Amino acid sequence: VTPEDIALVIASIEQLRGDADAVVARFYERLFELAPDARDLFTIDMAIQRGKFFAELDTIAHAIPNLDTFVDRASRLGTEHARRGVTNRHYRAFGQALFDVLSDTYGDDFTPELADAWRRAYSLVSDSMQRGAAVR
Amino acid sequence: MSTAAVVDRWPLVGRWDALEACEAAIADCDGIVLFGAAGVGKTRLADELGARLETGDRTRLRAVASKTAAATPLGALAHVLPPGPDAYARAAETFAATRPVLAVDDLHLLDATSLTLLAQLVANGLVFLIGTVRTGEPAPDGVDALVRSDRVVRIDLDALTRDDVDTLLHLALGGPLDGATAASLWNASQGNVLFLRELVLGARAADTLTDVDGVWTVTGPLASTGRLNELLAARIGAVDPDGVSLLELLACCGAVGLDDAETTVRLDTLAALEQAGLIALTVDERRRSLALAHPLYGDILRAAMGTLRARALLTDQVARVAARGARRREDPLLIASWQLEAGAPADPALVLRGARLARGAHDFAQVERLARAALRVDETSAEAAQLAGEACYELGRFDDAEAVLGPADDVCERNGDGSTVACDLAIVRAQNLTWGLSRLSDGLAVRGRARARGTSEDDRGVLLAGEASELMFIGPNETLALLASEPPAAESRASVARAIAEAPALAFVGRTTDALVIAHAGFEAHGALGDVVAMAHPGTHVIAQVVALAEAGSLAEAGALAQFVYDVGVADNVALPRMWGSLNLGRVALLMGRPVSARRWLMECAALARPFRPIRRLALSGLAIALSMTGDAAAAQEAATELAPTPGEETFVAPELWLGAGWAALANHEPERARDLFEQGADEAAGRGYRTCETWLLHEIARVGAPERVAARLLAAAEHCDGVLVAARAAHADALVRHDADALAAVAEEFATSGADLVAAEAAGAASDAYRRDGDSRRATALQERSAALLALCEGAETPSLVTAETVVPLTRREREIAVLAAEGLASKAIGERLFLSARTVDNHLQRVYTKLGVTRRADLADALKRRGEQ
Repeated sequence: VTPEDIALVIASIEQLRGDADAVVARFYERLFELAPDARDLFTIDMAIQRGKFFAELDTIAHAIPNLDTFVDRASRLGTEHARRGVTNRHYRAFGQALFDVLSDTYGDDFTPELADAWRRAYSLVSDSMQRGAAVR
Repeated sequence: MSTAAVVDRWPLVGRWDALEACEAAIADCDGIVLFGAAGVGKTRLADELGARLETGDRTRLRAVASKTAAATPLGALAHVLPPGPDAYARAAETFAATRPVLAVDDLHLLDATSLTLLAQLVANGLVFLIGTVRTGEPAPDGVDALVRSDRVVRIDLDALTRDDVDTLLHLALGGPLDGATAASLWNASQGNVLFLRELVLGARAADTLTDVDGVWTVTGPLASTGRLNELLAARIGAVDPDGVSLLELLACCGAVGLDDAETTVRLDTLAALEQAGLIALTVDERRRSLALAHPLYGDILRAAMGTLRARALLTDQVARVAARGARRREDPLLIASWQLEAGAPADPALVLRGARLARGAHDFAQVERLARAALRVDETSAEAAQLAGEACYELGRFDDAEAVLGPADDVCERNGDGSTVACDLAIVRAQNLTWGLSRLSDGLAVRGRARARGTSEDDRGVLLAGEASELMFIGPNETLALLASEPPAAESRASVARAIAEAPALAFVGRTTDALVIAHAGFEAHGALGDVVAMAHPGTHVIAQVVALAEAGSLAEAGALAQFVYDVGVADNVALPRMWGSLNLGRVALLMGRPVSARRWLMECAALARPFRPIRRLALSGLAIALSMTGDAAAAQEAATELAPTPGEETFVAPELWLGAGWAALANHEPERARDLFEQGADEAAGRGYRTCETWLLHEIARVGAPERVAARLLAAAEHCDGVLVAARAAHADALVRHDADALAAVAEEFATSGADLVAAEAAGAASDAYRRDGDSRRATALQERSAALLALCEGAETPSLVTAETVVPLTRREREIAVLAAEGLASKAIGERLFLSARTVDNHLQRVYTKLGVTRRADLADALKRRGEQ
């Protein structure tokens, strides 16, 4: 993940902040299409879950530049997710859903650079979360 | 951001799919084998898996296979196995309670013995195997067999994706890379983790990968993938001479103990090599050892090293380990393998131990190599000669076997050596002379001499039983007579050897019930004996059971047991049980009337048994029968040409071989000659005591149109035999002579109960003809249908008595034979030559045939003569 990637992703999150509720709602809609069993992973009210999701995305993306903090946070997050039953298959579905919703939201503005940046960032985040869950 | 992270162990990235697949597999299998190119990250993932499985009581044992360790059997596994001679039994005992995780790197470099042991441990759920195999290199069959078993899951690892590489670099370097740097590292590595690591370490060392304001940036050229070997070589080249000799030592010897390494290099050199990521320290409960961090380093180092240098390193290491007393239990074998690799004379006792281990795994090429190495040091070792000779025999190289065994046995004879080792040597030599070289008299003489000087009762008993076995070359009467002259042995080995001789002899003289009892007891006793030298494979007893069951007429059971022996031969990778198994599968298929199956098995046996002429002849004889039944006359003739022994050959000429000769004549439309051949065979069988075989041959004469010639003799022979098949043969011939429809129908069912469907179909067809002649068309039709149903099981078999004529006036045998030949388009003169008749007589017979069948021309004969079941 290059510094440019990080900047692009953080800028993108700022752009989405105003419309966060709708974007996150569409994200979960898409996720449950891709992985219907993912519904069972969320036991709390989906409205609260949606709020938590954007906050976490915001925090972790901003954490990338400071690797130690980032790895620490991702590990804890990964462990929590594993406890809820999230597996590798779900990570792939999450990534796909996120990508689809971003592509949908941006339309023609979803440039190859922005797409690459998001994809690499997600790879770093999801990989670090899974390692956090794995290394017990 | 810390630069230490660069050489630390890199994090596992991008393997979550594979890990998930492994975890899914763990629950219901006994092993996972990771396949992938060199440097793709197999070992790293295997480590991660191993760490996950290592919990509570469950320990993890680690081994790395290498070319050097493969020089001795179990070389790579010796340190993880409990000590003791029978490696499997010891391991089974130790591992049963905890079922440890056994991690073996580079399975494709394991020796055959280790692979066999590993397969057994996995098959019996005694360990959980985590293996790696480098793709793109030849792997021994054992790896394939291991992975094909349903107890092991194969997982293929590809290179990392571009995104994974970015993530890995980000985490390993501890911060972001600039876009161009990430792209150039991706291009150079193509996702190969080892190359990626080398590129990063190389660029860091050359100061061309630097941290510019918190972003990793490449400031100079990177090596291309094609240059990676040079890059690795360059990195190794940068090590000081002291360090290089340690690296070379590791390249030659595989892992060495830390204490050994410390005597060759200074501690700070060790630390520097570890820091540079060239060597890795593993700490097991028992020892700390050093190895190269990646096998590729070893390849590069060995390629650059001269043979003399390698020999010197190996010899030094031998001296070091010997100097500290070779006290670890894997040390002796390691020393032997290093000595062999160095081309130096090795301790013969150790090398022989290796040879015995390899023999246990039936790796006869390895046995021969090690036993010959032992002979080079001590040419008087009877045990080494015996192992080398036996290996040559098993590999079908009989002259080589005699070249080793002969002189050694002669020395024992001169010295009056009556020890067990000397007796075993004589047994192997005699077996090779008899079965391999077709020198029966010489074989018997060797046994006789050894028996005269043998000191132990057991050894003499084994020698006598072997002699009895070899007398089967003459016949079962001789075998049983010799055994009767000596009381049954009390000693365990002798009693097992006696069963090997006695059971088949009893089956062939028609005492199948007694044969089954003896063979079963022999098998049980053999199992208790373990895998001993100079003794046939335990499958031999099962083959005796197969023969007894077949002679008795329990064909389905015989076939299933023969399949078992064949499968054991395949699994144990031993040629002889595979040969006997396939031979008997073919023989049983012939008795059942399945020519296509018979052909498949007998062709395999004939190919396997090429050097073993006695077995090959039996296979070819059966093949001639099968090919004749499927109408392939030329191939049947071809198969029958090899049946006769060559001049001077004192070989196993079973009367059964006349069957093949007779059927080849039948395929050639020479029924008269076929009957004569069958009869000659029957006479020979009777003379030698092959009672069941005599009835088989006589029964063929009855089937080929001359029951009156054999019926009385068959009934007399059947008196001596206890099986239902023999009784049915006699009843069949008798009923054919008497045209007794009811008796023929009953015999058909007796054959069918045995599983002999083809002769059952023939008998039912004959019953149908007899009923029709008697005017009972209802029964005639029913039996015709029964015959067709039985024939449908027979894979399209064609035999002379299946040719029938839809007529109320029966054709005589002569008329039928002439009609069949004429229908095939042969001229009267040609027919006459085959049947020893004049052309005029043939024409006279043909005229009567035309009248009986209601046809006027030869061209209509074929339609009038139909194969049963084709109405």
